[in-house]
Amino acid sequence: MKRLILLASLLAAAGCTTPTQYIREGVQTPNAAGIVDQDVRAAVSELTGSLLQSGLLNRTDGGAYVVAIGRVVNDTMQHFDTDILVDQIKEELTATGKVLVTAAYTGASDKPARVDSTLEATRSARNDPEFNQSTVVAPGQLVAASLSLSGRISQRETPTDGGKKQIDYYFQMRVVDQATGLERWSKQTYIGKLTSRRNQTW
Amino acid sequence: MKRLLPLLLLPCLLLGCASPFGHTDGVPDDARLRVAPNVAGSLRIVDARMAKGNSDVYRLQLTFENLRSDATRFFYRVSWMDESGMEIPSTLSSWRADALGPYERRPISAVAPSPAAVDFLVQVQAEK
Repeated sequence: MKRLILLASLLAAAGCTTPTQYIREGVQTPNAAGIVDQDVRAAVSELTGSLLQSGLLNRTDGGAYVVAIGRVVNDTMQHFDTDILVDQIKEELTATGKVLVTAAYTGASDKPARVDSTLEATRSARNDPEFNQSTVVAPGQLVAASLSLSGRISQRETPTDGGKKQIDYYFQMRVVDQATGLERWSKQTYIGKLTSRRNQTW
Repeated sequence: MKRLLPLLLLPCLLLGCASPFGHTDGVPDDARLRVAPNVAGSLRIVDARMAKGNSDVYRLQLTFENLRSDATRFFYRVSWMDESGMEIPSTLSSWRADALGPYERRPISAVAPSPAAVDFLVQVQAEK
């Protein structure tokens, strides 16, 4: 009898399990209080679209601006790799041909992976007899950035009526002229969610 | 003059009725604006404009109108095509979720991902 109950419990549990599904854009809306991929895409779309539409990246000589990636601060209550946002913006901007991103340095000390480690390795081959010196890069070729891209993601939670809470996410980016230090463009995009107070985002 | 008056008024009437996109049950006539039947009775695109402004990339402004007395949630996506009609892959062409309040009419903008984008395709469908 005990075995029968156990078997029935197992079958019931299996029947109640929600099967894992692939998320298909435009078909499913994720019901999540935290930041999900759709939120990042929406933010990237708004921010990149605004920057492109501003005309700031249009050089009269048709060339591309060299951009250094600065710090993107995660000021939310959840673990979120800001490089997910940065990489998508970088990809979009680079694809326009208006921007070249330097991998020689970064403004974010906490993101050493943004600097290409092979640059230093390549230069260490100078005067190494094992290397054909005519193939080794000459000094003074790294290109400094004329613009930088940095930003911040912040979160605010406010209790609302009916045992719910409103979660406000702000994605803010800015472009700074490296010669003058002046902020040439900035944009903040907002994503709001309403959820149960019991739902935690961290 | 009495005979001429209707002839003179006819073009004015036609022009007055003309909008950038005609509609049949909320479905715009422009083939580039695809509103799925599952949402066509709830909302429609009443206007679409494309301009470059300060930049060399197009900005598309779509004016949506909710035909219902309650909120309508929907997905939309703006794809961008190059001169040869090939789609330009971009995060800017991701599906976006949005909602309109009762009888709300609101413009929604989309920016082309590059100067190579010269045409667009809008898809709208109901949230499931």
